[in-house]
Amino acid sequence: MAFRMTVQTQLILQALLRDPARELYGLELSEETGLLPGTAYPILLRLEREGWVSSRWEDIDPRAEKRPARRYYRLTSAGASQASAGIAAARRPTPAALRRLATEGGHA
Amino acid sequence: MTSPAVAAREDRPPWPVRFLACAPTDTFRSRLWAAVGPVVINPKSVAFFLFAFGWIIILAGIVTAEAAGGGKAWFAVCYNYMFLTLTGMSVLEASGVVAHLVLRGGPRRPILIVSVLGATVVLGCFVIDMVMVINTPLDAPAVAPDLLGFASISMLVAMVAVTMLYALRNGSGRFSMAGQLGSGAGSLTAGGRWRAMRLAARLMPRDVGRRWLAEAESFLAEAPPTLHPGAVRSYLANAPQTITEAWAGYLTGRVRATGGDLPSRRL
Repeated sequence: MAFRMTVQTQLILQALLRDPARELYGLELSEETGLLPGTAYPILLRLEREGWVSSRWEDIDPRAEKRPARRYYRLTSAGASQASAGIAAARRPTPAALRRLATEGGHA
Repeated sequence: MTSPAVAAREDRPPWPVRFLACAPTDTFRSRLWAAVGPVVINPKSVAFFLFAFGWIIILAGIVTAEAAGGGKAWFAVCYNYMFLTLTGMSVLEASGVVAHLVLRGGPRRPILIVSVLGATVVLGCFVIDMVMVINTPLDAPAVAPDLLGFASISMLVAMVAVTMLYALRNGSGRFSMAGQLGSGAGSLTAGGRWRAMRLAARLMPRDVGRRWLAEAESFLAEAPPTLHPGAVRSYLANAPQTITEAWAGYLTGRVRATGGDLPSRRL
């Protein structure tokens, strides 16, 4: 894994992992993760650069639809497995946290 | 129940008032817009209205004074009236030109024509003002303005102009950009921040910058208006990180494409 698995990154990956075949666009991602779009964008850029996520523009006529085209994001097959592993590793307590727990347990 | 649009139409003043409420150098299209759109009497149009009436008063005053064989007091009243309205026109017109040049949004207007016409009015009023001051005879009525009076009146009108410009930037109604855009109070701040976003996009590689803006536009088009200020703020707050990511992605792509040999300057 070439980048830090921040809480925001985990939220985005979890949203995409709920249904890896489903494509999500900015507003949906924002609603599912609770993140503002500006926060999510650099993370998506980074995930795309690492090949975890692929994106495409929606193929519509903006005049007919009366809205701009959306940019859809989805996990790649490699990205889905790496994301699952990454989230699981991030949830695992760190050795430092385990040591702290042990110390607090000893005091109690 | 009457809809807000119908109520607004019913509350509108008659068309001559709406027509006169428009700025003197506005284009015909803008005047037409003012005649059919919601109207708030603005200071510039009031100055214009008073200025136009001033000529009638001046002519009447001159005729009366001539007939009475003097009438310095009447002359002074006319003189001050013209002086005040001319200076007011000049400064308010200048503020209008600055507003057109500095501010964006609102009804589309030919900025160059408006600016040239406005500048002409400003210069014209200023020249007439100065001619009046210079030609004021030493035995002119005490109430006629001297250089100190000129400065005081200019200061007063400048304060009005600054207030008007402030209203243009921050207020509501026809003078605010939000009012002109007709899309709520958030539009003004969002408009300013959108310019900042465009600036930030220029700092990214071209494709990424365009995509960032397009995605932001797409988001804002579909998100509820209450989310807009926070969303734009978040785009701006995360712009430095996005710029870094964008360049990192760009360079990574270049490295991958060239097989690790980035083009370097050859000595």
